[in-house]
Amino acid sequence: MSDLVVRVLDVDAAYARPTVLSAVDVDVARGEFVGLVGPSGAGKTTLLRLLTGGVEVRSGSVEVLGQRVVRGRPPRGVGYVPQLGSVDADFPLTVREVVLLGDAASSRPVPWFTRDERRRADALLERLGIGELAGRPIAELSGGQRQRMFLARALARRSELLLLDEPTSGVDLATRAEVLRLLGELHHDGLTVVLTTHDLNFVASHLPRMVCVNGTVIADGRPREVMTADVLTRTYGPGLRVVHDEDGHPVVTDAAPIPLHSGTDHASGGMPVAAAVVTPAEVDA
Amino acid sequence: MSLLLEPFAYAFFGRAMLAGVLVGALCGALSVPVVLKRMSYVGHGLAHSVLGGVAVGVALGADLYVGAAVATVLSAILIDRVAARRGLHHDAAIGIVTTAAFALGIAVLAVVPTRLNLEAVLFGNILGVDARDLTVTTVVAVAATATLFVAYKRLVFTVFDPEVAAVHGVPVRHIELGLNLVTAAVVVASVRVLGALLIAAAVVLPAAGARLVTRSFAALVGLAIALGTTASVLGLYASFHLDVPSGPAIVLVGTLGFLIAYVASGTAARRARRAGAREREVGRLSERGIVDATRTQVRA
Repeated sequence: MSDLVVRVLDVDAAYARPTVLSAVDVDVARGEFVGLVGPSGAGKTTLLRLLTGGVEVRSGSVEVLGQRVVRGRPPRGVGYVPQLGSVDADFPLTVREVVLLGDAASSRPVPWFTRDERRRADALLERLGIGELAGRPIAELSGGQRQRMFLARALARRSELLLLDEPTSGVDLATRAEVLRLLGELHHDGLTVVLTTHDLNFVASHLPRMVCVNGTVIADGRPREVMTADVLTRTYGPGLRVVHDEDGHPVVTDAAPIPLHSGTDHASGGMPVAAAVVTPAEVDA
Repeated sequence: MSLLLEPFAYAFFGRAMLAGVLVGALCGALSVPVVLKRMSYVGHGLAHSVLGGVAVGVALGADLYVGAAVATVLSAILIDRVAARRGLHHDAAIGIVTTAAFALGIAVLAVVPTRLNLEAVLFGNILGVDARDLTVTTVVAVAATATLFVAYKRLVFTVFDPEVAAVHGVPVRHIELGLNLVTAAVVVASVRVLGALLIAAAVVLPAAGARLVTRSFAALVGLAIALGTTASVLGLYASFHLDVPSGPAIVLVGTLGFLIAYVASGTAARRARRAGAREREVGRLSERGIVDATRTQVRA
């Protein structure tokens, strides 16, 4: 079997008429950790859905773990972690039940799970550090705990490839660090990881490979090589600049100060009365 | 005691009670995915399409159930197809498909003279429950229970997180279509007891009430079935003794159950908030050394 886990070859993809992605070529080898970046609406999530059979392939071909992927036929061995806000946080399920659902497709067609299945779910929760929460309703979880639960659900399918859609959006800095540390551990254990993110500086500092997307693949490679002013302009448009920190990692900042209006004097006819200017250095700090 | 046993002196009441218990339990079970998937309007819409099917069927000389079944199954498939089109959601699809069927039924009844008892179709009538109705209800109950039993895990995953369920190999589109078809079958089987206009409430009230008092999925299913069955039983007694149509009687009992759950959950939430506030206050006083927190009992 090829060492390529993902093989996207000259693909045009669409949900309906307008093409969302065109002429996309991406290969991901086993054991890689890849960050997909790009502005909102650029096609990052679509690229993930391309790998899970969630979007129509107009031309070209998609292979995941040696299986040809077409719309409606997700490949086996892929775990998917959606954005945090995508489900009802108050849904009446326990943490263990959510993890068990991860392998529902291959479970016996009866309403209950076997002892072995429950034991396996508990082992996954232990591995992800939330074993003691197995019997808790999901409504009682924090953002970080919920991400761990979804990771356990993704792994319940004996996944070799883990796809994550903006796993750090909407969480605080401590939770972000916790989720990323966990992903690092899973990657270290041999899992191939592909995630989308808006956090360019996280990608630059921590990931070995980034793919810049905006309707097509703009650039693909090591962040130190890819993250240039030219690539960022072609991906995001003007307004960003790249500096380097003391370790030589690229750091993205705003190219010019952003004027922030702090208030409006209604008595003076609605004219702004105070303004602050934030410099890139302050944003960094 | 005679209030409970007297109605069974009439054969129709025994049949109605059996049909009512089956319909109540079915509607209770079905109300769980309907409420959690926020598709309450599906039951409402399919129930409206029943009238169209019954009217057209009777006008063509066909059986009431044939017309109702064709209309609801056709509506369920059309809703699924229309909602699959990008830019349209289930609410719009239901609004279009089922109101058209309802309008067709009213138009047909205005033009073609039939012997259809419109009030019985709209509001239910326990006097009309015959052996054939009981057979139809039993067949639907067995088929729907078997379907929900087999598809349970995949259905829960689909209701909770359809996007990930699809990635994880669950045939989400088939599960959703199956749920619509089961809903259609239950609606058809419930027409005689509940009436076309009131079925919608019966596939919402049980889970809506149970949802307020439990966070466990298994308990939610059990409680919703119990509430649906209880509403049917008490509603049928009320229908008999107070001489009101069975549909409104069952729905009113179900609404009462929901109100009790609503008040009970509000009281429990207030108690929990008060207990939390007391605990915080004891904690603050304890930090200042005013009280000993280890010896202070906080009562809810």
